[in-house]
Amino acid sequence: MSVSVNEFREAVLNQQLHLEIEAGGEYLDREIEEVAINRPGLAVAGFFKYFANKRVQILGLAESEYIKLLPDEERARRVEGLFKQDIPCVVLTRGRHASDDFKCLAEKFKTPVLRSTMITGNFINQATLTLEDLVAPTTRLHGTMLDVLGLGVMIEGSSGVGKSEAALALIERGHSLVTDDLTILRKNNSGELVGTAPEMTRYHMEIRGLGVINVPSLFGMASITTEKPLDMIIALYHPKPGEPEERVSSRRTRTVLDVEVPLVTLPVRAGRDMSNVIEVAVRNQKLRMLGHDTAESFNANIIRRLKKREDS
Amino acid sequence: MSDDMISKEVEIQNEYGFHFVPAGKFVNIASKYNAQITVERDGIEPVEGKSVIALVTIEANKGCKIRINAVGADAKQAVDELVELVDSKFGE
Repeated sequence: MSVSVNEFREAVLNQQLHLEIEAGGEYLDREIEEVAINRPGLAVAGFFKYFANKRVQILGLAESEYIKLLPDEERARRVEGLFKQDIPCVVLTRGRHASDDFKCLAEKFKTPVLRSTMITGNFINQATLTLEDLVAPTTRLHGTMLDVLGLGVMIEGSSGVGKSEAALALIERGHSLVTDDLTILRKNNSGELVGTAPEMTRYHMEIRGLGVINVPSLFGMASITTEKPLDMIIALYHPKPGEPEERVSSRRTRTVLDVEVPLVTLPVRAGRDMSNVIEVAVRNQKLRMLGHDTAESFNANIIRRLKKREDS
Repeated sequence: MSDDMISKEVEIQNEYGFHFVPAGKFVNIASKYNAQITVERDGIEPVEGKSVIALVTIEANKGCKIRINAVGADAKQAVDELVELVDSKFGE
């Protein structure tokens, strides 16, 4: 799986970081075939064996200073040697500009040169995370996601069941919205599923009868969260008449991108305040995550008492 | 009652594409039916056909072909009416 230099740059810019184009701006569609970072120290010193040429090449302070020290002719040869390796792009860190010769070679070899003001180490960390996110497995689920009491909660259910209305009530209770109706989930390096909104509809909700509302304009910045790891799914459903509702809930999960996510199903009835019930479900889940299962200990207590009666 | 999927491809012909207002009209019609309706565009995963927010994320501009899928007893009528809506350029 590969990403283009442009996708990489866009992703970095999305994190409010700068990544300016120094040269080769026409060639941003070049592919980064190996989604990782390389510091071509040995390569600029002339050693190309095992050179990771398919990665993003970062020239930090040490590499830049080393190149600068070389005699003019040798410098051109070394830089050309680097570009000849068919590298996807070069990033200059610490805000250093490329020399005119360097820019010429970049254009000649159709290779973009980008520039970051960050310190090399910090940029490498940031860029590595960004690249990993770009190739992480993703899926889109039909559901509204919120941060409720610090947990990432996705509310799902067929259309008209009241997902958005429940979310609105939760926002009014001080919880924050990640996305309405469509959640993009990305499995990150540590196996967490991170939920975000599609760029186009981010921070907006559709409420029947009202149309679309902009959540932060109405409820303030605290009412939104850009992304959040998913901790549980709450499935809302209209109970069919005559069908018994589940009263003793069992522990259930839903598998999303090979990750097991705790699942709670809640029946919706006219007049039932779902936001309240959802909040309690989340509190219960938090307790569970801390190692205390209410249903289990409640039942253990009942069994213990029944046993006692049996013995006496 | 059949649970087979009814599916039809249709081209977006109105000037501004499948924006918010057409999506609203689409949802209004889709919601009349019990069938499960999804909409997809080449390669993009299908989205819920009864959600305005989900529909606009497929970003179907003029000339784009979208596929309308429906499963359920009234799937055929639903797809037919929705195709008609798209073909009428959403009345724009």
